[in-house]
Amino acid sequence: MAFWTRFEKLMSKRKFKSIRQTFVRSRRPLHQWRQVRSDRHAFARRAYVNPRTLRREREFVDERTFWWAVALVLFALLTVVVDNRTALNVMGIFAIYAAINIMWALVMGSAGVFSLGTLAIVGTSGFIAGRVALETGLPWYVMLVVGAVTGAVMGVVIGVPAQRLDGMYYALLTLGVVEVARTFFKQSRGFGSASGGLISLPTYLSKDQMFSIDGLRIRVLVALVPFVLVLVLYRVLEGRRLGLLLRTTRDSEAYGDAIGVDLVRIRLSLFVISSSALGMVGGFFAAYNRSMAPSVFDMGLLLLMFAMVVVGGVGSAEGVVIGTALVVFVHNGLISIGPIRIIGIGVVVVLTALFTKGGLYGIPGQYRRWRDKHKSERIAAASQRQGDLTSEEAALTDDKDLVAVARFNDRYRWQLRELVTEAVVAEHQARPVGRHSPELDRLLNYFRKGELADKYAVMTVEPFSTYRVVALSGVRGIPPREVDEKVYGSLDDAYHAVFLRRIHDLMES
Amino acid sequence: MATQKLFAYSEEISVKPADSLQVMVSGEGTQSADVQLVRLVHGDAHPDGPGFVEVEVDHPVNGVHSVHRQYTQLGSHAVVDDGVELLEGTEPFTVATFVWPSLVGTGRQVLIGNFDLSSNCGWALGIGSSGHLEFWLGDGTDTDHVMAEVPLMERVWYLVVATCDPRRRKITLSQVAVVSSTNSVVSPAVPHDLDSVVVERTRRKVRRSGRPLVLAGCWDENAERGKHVKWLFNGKLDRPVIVDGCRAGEVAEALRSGDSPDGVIAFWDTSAGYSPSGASTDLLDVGPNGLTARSVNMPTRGMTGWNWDGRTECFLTAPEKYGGVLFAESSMTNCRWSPTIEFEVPQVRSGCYAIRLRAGSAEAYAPFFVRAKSPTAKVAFQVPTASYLAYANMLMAFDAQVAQSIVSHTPVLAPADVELYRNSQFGLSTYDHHADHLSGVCYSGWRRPIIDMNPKHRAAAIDTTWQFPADLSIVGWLEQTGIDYEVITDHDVHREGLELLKHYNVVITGTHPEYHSGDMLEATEDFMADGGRLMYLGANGYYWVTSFVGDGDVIEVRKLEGGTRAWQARPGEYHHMADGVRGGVWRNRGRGPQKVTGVGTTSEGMDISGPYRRQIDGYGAGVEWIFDAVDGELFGDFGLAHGGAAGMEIDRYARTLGTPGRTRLLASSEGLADGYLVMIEDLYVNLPNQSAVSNPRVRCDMTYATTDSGGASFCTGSIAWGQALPVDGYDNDVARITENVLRRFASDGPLPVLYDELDDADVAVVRSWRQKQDAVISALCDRTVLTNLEAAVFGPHSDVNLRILSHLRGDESGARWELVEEQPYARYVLSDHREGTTEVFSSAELAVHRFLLHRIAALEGEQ
Repeated sequence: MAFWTRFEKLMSKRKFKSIRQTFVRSRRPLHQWRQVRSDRHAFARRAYVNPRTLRREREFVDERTFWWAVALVLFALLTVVVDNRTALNVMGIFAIYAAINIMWALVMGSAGVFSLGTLAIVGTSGFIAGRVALETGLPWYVMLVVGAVTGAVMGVVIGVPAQRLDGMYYALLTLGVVEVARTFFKQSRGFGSASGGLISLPTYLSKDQMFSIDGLRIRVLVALVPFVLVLVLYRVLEGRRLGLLLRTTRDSEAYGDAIGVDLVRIRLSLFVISSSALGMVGGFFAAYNRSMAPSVFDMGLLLLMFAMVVVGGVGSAEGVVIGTALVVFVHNGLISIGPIRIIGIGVVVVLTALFTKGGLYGIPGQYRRWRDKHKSERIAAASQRQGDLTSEEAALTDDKDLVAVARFNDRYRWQLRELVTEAVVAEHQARPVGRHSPELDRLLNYFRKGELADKYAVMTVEPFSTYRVVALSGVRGIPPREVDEKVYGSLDDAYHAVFLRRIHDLMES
Repeated sequence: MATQKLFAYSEEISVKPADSLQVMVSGEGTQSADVQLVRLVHGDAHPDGPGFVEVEVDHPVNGVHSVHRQYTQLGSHAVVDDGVELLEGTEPFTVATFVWPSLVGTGRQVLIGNFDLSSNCGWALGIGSSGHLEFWLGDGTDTDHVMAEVPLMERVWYLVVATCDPRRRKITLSQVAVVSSTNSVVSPAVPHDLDSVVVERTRRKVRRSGRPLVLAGCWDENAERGKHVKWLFNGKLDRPVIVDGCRAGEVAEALRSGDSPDGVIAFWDTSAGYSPSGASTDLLDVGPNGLTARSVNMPTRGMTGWNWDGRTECFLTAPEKYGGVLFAESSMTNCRWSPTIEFEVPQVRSGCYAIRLRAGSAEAYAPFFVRAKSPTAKVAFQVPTASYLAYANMLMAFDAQVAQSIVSHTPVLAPADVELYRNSQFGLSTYDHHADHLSGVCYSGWRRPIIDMNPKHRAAAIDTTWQFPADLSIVGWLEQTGIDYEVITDHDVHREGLELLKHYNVVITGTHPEYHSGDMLEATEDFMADGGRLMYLGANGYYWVTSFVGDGDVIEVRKLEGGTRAWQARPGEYHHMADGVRGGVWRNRGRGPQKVTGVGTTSEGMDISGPYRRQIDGYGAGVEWIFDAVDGELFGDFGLAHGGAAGMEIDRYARTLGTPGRTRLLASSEGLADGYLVMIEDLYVNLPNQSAVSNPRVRCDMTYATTDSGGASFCTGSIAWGQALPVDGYDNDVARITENVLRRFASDGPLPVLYDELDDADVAVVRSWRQKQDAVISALCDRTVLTNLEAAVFGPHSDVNLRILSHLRGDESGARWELVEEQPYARYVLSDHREGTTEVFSSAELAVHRFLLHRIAALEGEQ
C-alpha cells in the first residue's frame, strides 16, 4: 500500500487526530495559565463543539510554540547526527544570522523603521566587546553583556534620527553608518587594522574542543542560545500590547495620537531594545568566531541578509527563519556550484517580491485566500445563473430547513411568474385591497408572507394625501429605508406601486 | 435647531374630579413645553369623518412648563438592596445558579453580581459577547475575566457555578448542562457535550464596588443619566445562591438534589412565594440574612424551572418545578419618571381627557379618564383600558413576518411609528416578542408613553384607527347625541364590579374590548342578570383571560392553545403569576361570550369592510324600533375603517357556543373578502377555502336579545361599526340604529320582551348564503375548468378548481348520489337515488369525475 493511502486511512479512522488534540484531553478541567505580567494565556487552549460528533474538542490557540520546540529539538539532534564540518558550519552561521534577522524583521515589520544599520550594530558591538574582552581578560560571556550595552547605545544614536527622517533618507543614513563603521574598524589600529580585525578573542570552547568535530557541535549548539533568547524577545515584544499597538498604528502617527499612544516613544524603545539584542548577538558572534573582521560590514553580506528577510517574509519570525535557512543553505552550503548560486538567490528574491504578499511563509495563507476568493466567486456566479442554492451553499447552511425553503421558493417562483399577466396587474390597480381573483390572491399571499428584511411598506408623508414607498429593515431599532423619490397621491396608488415593485422583484429574481 | 421630541404619560388611568394627578414628561431638544388640558372628542382625521376634535379646558395648569429629558430603565432585573457588604466578594465565595439563556452572542449579559462599570469594581457572573459563560471582576482600574471553554447553548438548562478566592486570586468556573427530556431544546437522546470546567488564577482581585447585588444586570453611572443597570440578561434563572467559601462541588450537589447548601450567604429560592392568589414579584431569600431581591420591570415568574418534567403545568401544584424566572432586556412596565406637572382634576363632566403638550414641531398627549364623582347618568361607556394596554406600543407591523398576511395590507407607517421602532425604550405590547424572539411579552404597563394612546394615532399595519383612537368615534357620536353619559374604565370595573355597573341602565363597550379579567366578566354577567343592558359595539371581545398586577397599572396575559395568538406560551407556563389563573381564551375556560352577549369571535380580516344585510329576524315584531328611520335591506356600506360598518374583526351568532335561544339575528355582513379567515379555535383540522368568500360562517352578525329581568344585549359584531358612526356628520343608518337602541335601553321603561325561543337563525342564513353561492360557483365552471378537472381528478388542483371542490364538499346535496367500489381498481358503481339510475366505471378517477360533473350540473339546475 502506498504511503499516502495508508496515511489517509489512518487519518480517516480518527485514531490519529490532529497533533493539537493528541496533547489535550477535553474531559478534564482546563487549567489556564497566564503569561508573566500579562492577561494573556500561556499555551492558550480553546475548545469547540465538533458539529459532527457534538463532542467538545480542545486545541491550542497558537501551535507555533509547539512547532518551534519540535524544530529546535530536530536542529539539536541534527547537530549531533551530522558528521560533516561544512554542514555544521552552515548550521552555526544559520543560527546566528537567523537571530540577527529576527530582530531586523522586528524593527522593519513591527516598528516600521526601515533601517539598514543592523550589521553596523552587530559589528560595532562585536568589535567593542572583543576589545573590552582583550583589554580586561574577562571571560567570553562578558562580551554578550558589553555587546548588549553597546547595541543599546547604538540604538539610541541611530534610532533618534529615525523619528525625523523618512523612509529612503533614513535607509541611506543607516547605510552611511555601516560605511563609517566599516572604514573606522578597518583603519583603527586598536581594532586590528594590521591583522584584519580582532583575533584570539575568548570563547566558550576549551583548547581541545576547538578543532575537534565534537567541539564544532558544541559551538553550533551554543549558538542556539542567543537564537532562542532573541526568539523569546520577539514573541514577547510582538505578541504583547506593545507590538499590537505598533502594528495598528504603524502607518499613521495621527491615528496613534488619536488613541492616546505615544508612537514615537514606543517605536524608539522597541528600536533600542532590538538594537541591544543585536549587540548581544554581536558579542556572541565575536565569541563564536573567536575573532571580529570588518568584513561584517560588507555590502555583500548586508544584501545577502536582506535577501533572507525578503524571501522568508518580514512579517513573522517563522518566515525570517525559513528565508535565512534557504539562503544560508544555498549561499554557504552549495559553494561547490559556484557563483551561479548568487544569481539563483537573486531570482528567488525577485520572484517572491513579484508573486507573494508575505514571502515564502505567507504562501499557504495566500493560497487559502486565493482559493476562498475563487470559491465565493464560483458560488456567486452559480447562484446568479441558477437562482438556486448551490451544493456548496447548501452544505454550508446549518439549518437545512432554510435550504428546503429556498429550493421550494425557487420552484414556486417559476409557477408564480406564470400567473403574472396584464389582466392581474390591471385587476390589482383597479382594486388593490378586497376581493381578488384566485391568481392575484395567490401572488399577494406569496408577497405578504415574505421575509421582513427589505419588505416593502408605505410611509405616510402627509396623512390621506401623500405617501412614499419604503423597505423595512427587519432589525428592531433600524428604521425603514426609502426606496425611491416618488410620492403617491393616494393610498391605492402607493399599494399598487408596492405591488409593481414586488412583481418586478419576482420576475427579476 | 435640534428636533424636539416630547413623550408623556399620566400616573393614573382613571380619576375623579378633585383628585390629584401627576403627568410625567420627557422633552428632548426643548427646555419647556406648552401644556393644555383638553377633552378628547374625536380622533380619526379621516376625510370622511369630522376630523380630529378636542375641546380645550380652562385650568390653572395650562401654560408653559419646563421639561427635561427623562431616562427609562429597560430590562427586567432584581436588585438586592440589603447586605451589600455581605455580597461584595472580597472574601472567598461560591456563586451558583441554574440558567436557561434565551439569547447569547449579541452582547454581554450579567446573570448575577455587583459589578460596576463606571468604577470597574465588583464581580459578576455573566455571559460574554461570544456567548461564553464568564466571571468578571474589577480592581478599580482594570478588569479581569475567566471564560468557559464553549459557548452556552440557547434554550438549554445549565447549572453554573463559580468560586472566587481573592486571596489566591483563583477562580473556578463550571457549567454543566442539566438536560432532561422536557426542559431544554435538546434531548438526552442526542447527547450534546455542553459542559466545561476552567480553573485559572487572575492577575487582579475583586475590589468592593459598594453597589447592591443585581440579578440579571450590572451597574453603570454617568453624569447625565445617573445610576442605572446595564448588560441585562435574556433568559431564565433558577435558584441563584451565594455561599461562603470555595465549595463548588458541595453547592452543585445540594442544588441538584433540591437542598439548601451549607454556608449560605443568600439563597433566592425562586420556587418560594407562590400562593393560590399568585406569586410574589420579589424573589425571596430563604437564607439567614433575608436579602430579598426587589423586582424591576417585572421579571416573569411561574416559569418552568430546570427540573420541570412535564407532569404538571401549574406552579401551584408543584412549586418546586417552577423555579424559573424569566428576565428580558426589552421588558419595561413602568418608566418611573419624576412628575413634571401635578394638578387637581377640575369639576368637569366625565369623559376622555388628556394633557396636551407642544414644543416646536413636537406634540404629545397624556390621556386619562375622568369618572363621575358619583354616578348620575343612565349610560356608561366602559373604556376598554385593559385592551388598550394589551396593544400598547405594538411593533408587529415592523417585527412580525406574518403581519402582512394576517391583515392583507401593506403597512402604512407614520413618522411616530418609525420613531418608536428606532428607539423602543418605552416597552412592548402583549403582541410582541422580547429581544430573544422566543418569549412573548406577557406584561404591559400604563406608566409609560404609549403611542397607541395618542388620540391621532393610526395603526400602521391596517391604516385605520385602533382601540383608543377608534373608540373616540363612539365618544364623538355620544357627545353629539346629547345623551347624558359617563365613562368608566376596565380598571374601575375590575376593582368595583357590579357595585359600579349597577348605577347604570346601559353599558356601552368600546370597539374591541378583547381583554377581560374574571372579575370584569362577573360584573358584566351580574349586571345583565340584574336587568342591565349591554351595547357591545365591537367584536372579538371578552376573549383573553387577563389579570391585573399590583395596583392594576400592569396587565398580564399568557397566550396559548386555540386562540388567535401573536405568540405561544411555552409548555407549562400557562398560569398567570398575578393571580394564579390559567391564561388563554375565555372560551376554553367554558366562559365564551356568546352565552352573555349572543355573539363571539369568528374572524378577523382587515382587507375591506362590508355592509350589513337585514335578516328575517330583523323584521320581526318587537325589533322594528331598532331600525326606525332606516330604509332598505342593505345598510352600513360606509365607514372610516375600510369603507364599511361590518369588518376588521367580526363576531357571529353561534347557538352551539351558547348564543341564547331568544337572540334575534338582526343582520349579517356581506361582501367580505379573502382576508377574513375562520378563527383557528373553530377549526380542529386545517381546511382549504375557509375565508368569508367561501365559508358562510365567516360573517358578522348583529344581534338583539332580552332577558326576563329587563336586561338586554345589542351586539354589532363588528369593530368597524364604531368607525362608521361619524360618517356624514353622524347622520347615517349606523348612527341611527345605535341611537335608537341607546335611547330605548337608557329609558327606565321595559323593553319589548322577546319570549319565544327561535329556531337556529344560523341555519336560514347559511341556507340562503348557499343558494347564492351555488350560482357563484357554477359561474366559475367553464370549459377550461372542466377539462382541468378531468385531467386531474384527485389533484393537484388549480385555485379555481379547489374553490369549486371545496364548495361541493361542504354541500349536502351530494347525498343524492352514491359511489360504491365493487371491485378495487376494476368496478365502480355510481347510483343516483333520485333518478334511480346507475352507471358503471372501470376506474375510480372516471367514477369520481362523473360524480363531480353531475353535481356541477345540479348546481346550475337548482338555480
